Amino acid sequence: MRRFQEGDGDAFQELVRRYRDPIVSFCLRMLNDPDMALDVAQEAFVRVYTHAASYEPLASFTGWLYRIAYNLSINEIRRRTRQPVVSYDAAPERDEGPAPAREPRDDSPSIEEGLLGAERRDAVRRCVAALPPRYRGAVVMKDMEGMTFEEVARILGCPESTVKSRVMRGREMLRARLESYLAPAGSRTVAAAPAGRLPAR
Amino acid sequence: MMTTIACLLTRRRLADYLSGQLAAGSRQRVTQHIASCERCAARVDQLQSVIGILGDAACVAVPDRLQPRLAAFEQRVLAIGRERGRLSRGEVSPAASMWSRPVPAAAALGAGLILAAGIIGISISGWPGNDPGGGLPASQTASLSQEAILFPESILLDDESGPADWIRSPEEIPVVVYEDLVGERRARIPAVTYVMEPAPGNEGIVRASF
Repeated sequence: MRRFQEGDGDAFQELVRRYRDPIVSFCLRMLNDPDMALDVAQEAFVRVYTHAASYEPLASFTGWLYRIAYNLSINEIRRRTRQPVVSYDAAPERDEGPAPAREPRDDSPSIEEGLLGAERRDAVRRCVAALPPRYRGAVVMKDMEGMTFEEVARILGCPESTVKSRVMRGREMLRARLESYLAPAGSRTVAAAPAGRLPAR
Repeated sequence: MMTTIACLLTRRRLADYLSGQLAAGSRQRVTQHIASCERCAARVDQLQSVIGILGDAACVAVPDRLQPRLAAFEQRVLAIGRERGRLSRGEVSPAASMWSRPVPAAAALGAGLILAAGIIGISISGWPGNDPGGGLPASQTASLSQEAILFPESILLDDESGPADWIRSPEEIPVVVYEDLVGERRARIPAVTYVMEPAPGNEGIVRASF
């Protein structure tokens, strides 16, 4: 970023190449709409291009970029919510309903298992996309992007305690919504930490 | 099953507990409580499960139909970034220069509108030095063409100090056409916030209040 600020045009192209996929993915997780996600990701990089002078080299470029993408995503979410949408608390539509009771199964993967996994992932994304924006951003960054509370707090510009509270509220909402997909109580495992998805900061 | 103070204290620490950031002493107390409280144990199980499936659902693929857009992503960002950079420096685009030439009186309104729409995104906050001279200008609708091809999916109309409102897939957009003091026909994109108001069947139509 510093090279770009100093006038090296190739440096910006390098930034786009390096961060395009993570930012597009982040916008997809935030918006659950590929067309919209590409628009927002594109605008995020355009803002980097046009606001390069305002970037402070002491700050994390990744955090700055995510903050832009997050703010643009939130703008988009707010715009969309002006139109009639299904409330998070509304009863799920038929195809969004809980998964049918799972049959006992052996350990070998099957077509049904693959379908169930795909269905679950789809349901999870829809439920995340239905979270209120403030919880959605925190949950996406912490549990899907693999950021720390500190990193999320820096991007959102709020205290870590606020981030923790938002993440937990979001998880609780998802817990209620995704109950049928969750492992039965007593099968406690270590949560999969989705770390390492971000480019090195 | 009753909720105790220990349950409430445990809940307050769950965010750190689940991310492994709790200090050893606190972690031990939470672990001990979970071992003795079925309700909190179930909550922890389910929250760990939620975190697990969120991680599992984190990999989202861009659909095949959008791969061409993804391939052109870098070029488009650069094109839009350079165009906006040019605007912020007050440079006039080729389309604007063309429009600033005198237009023959016989020029049809439609042609003027097409040119006017071609400069959209360039004349975001008014037309330099060419304000309509009194009276309310007429609102018209025009098709996008010319340089708008740089922005086939979306256009950011407001400047950076205002809200970022988008126009998606615009096919028609209202512009203001007027005659300036020397009788030239000019188009002006009002410095207002545009709001997309899609109606059934014409989602591409964008309206604005003047």
